[in-house]
Amino acid sequence: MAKVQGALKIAVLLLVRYGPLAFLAGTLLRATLLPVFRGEVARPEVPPDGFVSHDTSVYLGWARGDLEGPVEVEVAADTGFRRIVHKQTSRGSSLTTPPLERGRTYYWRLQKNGVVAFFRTARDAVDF
Amino acid sequence: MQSTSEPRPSRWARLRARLAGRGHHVFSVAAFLTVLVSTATIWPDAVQTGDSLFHVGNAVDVERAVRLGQDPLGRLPQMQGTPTFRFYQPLHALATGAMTAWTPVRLEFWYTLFTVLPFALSPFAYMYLLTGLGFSRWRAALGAFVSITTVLGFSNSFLGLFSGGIVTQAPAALFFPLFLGKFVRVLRGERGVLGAAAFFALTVLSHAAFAVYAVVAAFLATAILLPKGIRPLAKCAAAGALGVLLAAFWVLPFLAVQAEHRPIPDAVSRPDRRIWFSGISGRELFDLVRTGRFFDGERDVDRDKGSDEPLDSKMRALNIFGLHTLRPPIFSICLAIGVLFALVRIRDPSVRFLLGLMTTGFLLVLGLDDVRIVARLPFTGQMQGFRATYLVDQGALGLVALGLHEVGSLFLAAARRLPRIPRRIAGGLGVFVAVGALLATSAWLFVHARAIVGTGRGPWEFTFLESMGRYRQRMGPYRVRGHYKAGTNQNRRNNHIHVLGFAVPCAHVSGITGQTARTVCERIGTPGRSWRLAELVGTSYFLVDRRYPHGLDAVEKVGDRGRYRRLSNRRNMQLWESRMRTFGHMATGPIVLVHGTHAQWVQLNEEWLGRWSNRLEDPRTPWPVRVQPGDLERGPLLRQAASVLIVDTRPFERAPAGLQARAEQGLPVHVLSPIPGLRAKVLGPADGWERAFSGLPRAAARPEDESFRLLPSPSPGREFRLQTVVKRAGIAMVAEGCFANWHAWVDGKPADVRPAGPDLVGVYLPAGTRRLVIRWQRTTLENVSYAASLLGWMGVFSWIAIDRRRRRRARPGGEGAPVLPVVDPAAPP
Repeated sequence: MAKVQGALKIAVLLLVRYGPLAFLAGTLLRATLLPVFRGEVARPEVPPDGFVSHDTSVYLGWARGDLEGPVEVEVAADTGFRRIVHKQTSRGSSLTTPPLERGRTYYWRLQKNGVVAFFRTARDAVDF
Repeated sequence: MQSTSEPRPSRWARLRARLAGRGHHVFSVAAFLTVLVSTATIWPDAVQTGDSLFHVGNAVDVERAVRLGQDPLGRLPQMQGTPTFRFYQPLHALATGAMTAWTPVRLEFWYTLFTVLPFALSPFAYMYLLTGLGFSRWRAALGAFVSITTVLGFSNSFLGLFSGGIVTQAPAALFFPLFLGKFVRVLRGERGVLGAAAFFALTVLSHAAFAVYAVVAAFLATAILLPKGIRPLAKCAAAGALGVLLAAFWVLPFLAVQAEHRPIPDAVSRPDRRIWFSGISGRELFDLVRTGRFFDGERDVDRDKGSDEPLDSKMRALNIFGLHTLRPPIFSICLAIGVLFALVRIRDPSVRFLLGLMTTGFLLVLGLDDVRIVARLPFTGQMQGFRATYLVDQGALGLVALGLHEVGSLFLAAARRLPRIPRRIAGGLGVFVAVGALLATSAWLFVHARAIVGTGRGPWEFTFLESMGRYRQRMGPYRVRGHYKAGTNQNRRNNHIHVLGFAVPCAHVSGITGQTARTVCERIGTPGRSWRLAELVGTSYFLVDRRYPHGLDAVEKVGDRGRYRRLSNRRNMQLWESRMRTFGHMATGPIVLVHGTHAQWVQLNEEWLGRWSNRLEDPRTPWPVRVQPGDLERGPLLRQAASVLIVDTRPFERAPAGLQARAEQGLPVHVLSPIPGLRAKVLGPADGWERAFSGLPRAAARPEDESFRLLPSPSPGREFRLQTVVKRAGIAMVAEGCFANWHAWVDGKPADVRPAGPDLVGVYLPAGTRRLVIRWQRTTLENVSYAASLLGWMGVFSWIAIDRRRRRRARPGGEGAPVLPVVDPAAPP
C-alpha cells in the first residue's frame, strides 16, 4: 500500500512539475513534425481571393510546401483554364505577371494542383 | 592617551571595494552602452521610421488634445474600417504628446527619447527577470547582454525595430520583462502586488499584443513555477485585477471598439489557412529553425534580383519587411547548447519556465490554424502570429545565457585543475575570448546599424514611397534623406501594396500628378485607404512648422491660403487642401441601404470602391449607407432608398414582415441567403455584391449643392460645424471614421449618424439651408473606465505614500520611532 501511495505521489509530482512543459512541447512537436512527414502541397498565398489590383502587373506568391524544383504558374481568364493569358515556370515562390487587361477577373494556379485562386484588376488606372 | 587610527584606504582600494561583487555589470552596462552607441547614428531618423511617420502624427494629435484640454484618446483615425495606431499602442503617443505639451522641448526629442531609452534600459529589465527566476548574477548579466542581439519582430532590439519601421512599442521592451520579473517574485512571495500591477498596466498600454503576451506568460509562470500555498496565487490575481483597473481607461474602450470595428476578416487576409504576414505552417517553422534562419535571420542576399530562396522570403515576412541579419549568425548554435544544458537541468523551475516560454511563443507563431489550443486562447484570433516571435526570444535569450554560462563554468573548472602556468594561460585565454565576444558583438551591431543608414536597405516605408516612382527624387512631405536609396523592385512594391493596402489609388497621389479625373480621395475626402497619406501630410506640416496655432484645428484653416505658404512645398499644400476641401459633401447617386456586420461593411466598401471609384460624378453611381434593422421600418432614410441589401440576415430571420412590407411597396430587396417569409432577390456566390448595386432606377441628376462651409467651433478637432444649402434631401458625408462616438445635430435637433460610403460619417439632411454639427463624445463605458483608472492610479500612489511614511516611522531614529532618553556620560549619576 505504501508503495502504491509512493508511486502515486511521484506520478502526481511529475504531472504537476513537468506536465505543462510536456504538454506544450508535445503540441509543438505535433504541429511541426507531423507536416514534415505528411507533406504539404504548394498553394497560392497572395493575393488573397477577390483582391482588386489597381496595378495591371500583379504579384503572385505561393507556399512551396514539398515542391522541389521549378513550379509552373498559370494565369487564366476563366475557371476552366481554357483561356490562359500567362504561363511561367518559376523556381522561387513568387512572380509578377506581365500587364493584364483592366477590369477583369483572373484565376491562377500552380501545376494543376486543384487549388485555384483569383484576383481582379481594377478598371481605373494607377499613376505610380 | 595614544590613539591608533587605521590608515585610510587608497582611492583604488575604495573603488575596488565598491565594485566588489558587481563585476557582472560589465555585461549589462556594455549592453546599455552598445545600444546607445550603435544606434546613435539613427536617432535623428527615429521620428521618420516607417510607421513612425504616422505615430508622430498621433503624438501631435495627443499634444494638441492636451493643450486644448480634450480627450487625448478621442477622435480616432481609421484605416480600412479599423482604428489605427494610437489605439493599439497608446503609451508612447501619450507620453510623447504630453511631454511636448508640458515642456518647451520639441516633439522629436521626446519621441526619440521614449524610443531609445526603453531599448537601452531593457537589458537591465531582462536581467531583473532572470534574477527573479533564480539565475545567478553572472548568468543574468550574460542574458542582459545577449538580449540586445534580439532582432526578431517586436523584440528588444532598437535596430531590429528601426529596420522594421516600428519603434513605438519600445516601452514594452522595458516594461514586459519588468512585469514578468515582478510577477515571478510575487509568485515566490517576495514582493507585493503594486509593482506587478503597475508594470502590467504599462506593458498592456505599450501594445495590445503585449497584453496577450503578459497574460500568457503570467499563466505559464503560475503553472510551471507552482507557488506554495494559496496566498501567492491570491496576490497574483489581485495584481492582475489591479493592473486591468489601471489600464482600464484604454483596455475597455479598446475591446468595445474592436468588438465592432474588426479589421478585414481573417478569411480574407489569410487565404487557405496559410498565412501571409500573420504566421507560418508547422512545416515552414520546422525548416526555418532547422536551417538556422529563425534565430539567425534570413540570409543576406540581393533581394532586388529576386535571388532569395523561399525560406528566406518566408523568414523576412515573419520578421516584418526589410529586417536584416542584424544578429551575429551564431545564435542558433548558442541556443542549441543552451537547450542541451536546459534539458540536463530540467529540474530547475526557472529553466522549465524559459523552455515553456519559448515553446509557447512557437505555438503562437504557428497560430490558431495549426494549433488547436491557440485557437481556444482569447484574442489570439485578432493577433498577428509573427509578433509572438517576441515571446520565443524572451525564452531563448535566457537559454543562450544559460548555455554560455555553463560552458564558461566548465572551462573555469577545468582550468582550475591545471598547474599554475597553464592555468594562467587558460585564464588569460578565457578573458580574451569573453572580452573578444563582447566587443565583436558590439562591433557587429554597430556596423549593421551604420549599414542600415548607409546601404539604403532602410525602413520599408521609404522603400515603398520611393517605389512610387514620382517621389523618388523629391520626396515631398516625407523628407527622406539621400542615403535611403532603396530599389524599385516590382515584387517589393507589390508586397507593400498588399500589406499596406494601398491598392486603391489615392487621389491625393493622382491629384498632385496632374491627373484631371476626380477620383476617390478628391471626391470624398479620406476614405480608409488614403488615410495614411493625408495624415502624413498633416504630420509633415506640423513637423516642418512648429508654430501652428494650437487653439485651432487644422480643419478650420480651409480657405486661409496664407497659412499654407509655410508648408514645405506646393505639393504638400495641394495635398492638404484636397483633404480639407472635401471634408463634407452630399451623396449624389441612388442610396442603397445595407445591413451587415462591420466586417461585411468594410468588405463591401472595398468592392464598392473597386467598382465605382472612377464614376463618382455619375448620378447613377449608387452610394451604400449602413443601417440598423429599425431604419428599414421607418425613418427618412427609407424615402431616399433605391434598394436594400441584407448581408447579415440574422435580425430578419424571425420577423421579416417589415422588410416584406417594404418589398411589396416596390423597394428592391437583395439578400445573400434566402429568408423564410421574405420575397427578395437572392444573390448567388457568383453574383457578388455589386449585383445589388446594378439595375437600380436611374437617378435624376442631382442639383449642385453649395459646398460645405466650416464654421468656427468651440471645441476644434472634436466638433465640426458645417453649413450648406441642400437643394434636394439626401445623405451628407463627412470625412471622418464612423465610430459610435460621433453624434450629429441638424439645425440644433439630434440626428442619426450612419456609416455612409467608405465608412464616412453619414447624416440625413433635408432640403434647405442646413447647419450640421457633428461632435465626438465619450461613451458611458469610456467615462466609467476613465474614472476607474483614475481611482486606481490615485489608490496606487496613495498606498505608496502611506507605505513610505510607515517605513520611515519604523526606521530606528525615524520620525515616528520611539525616542530614547539621551544620557550624558559626563553628568553625575
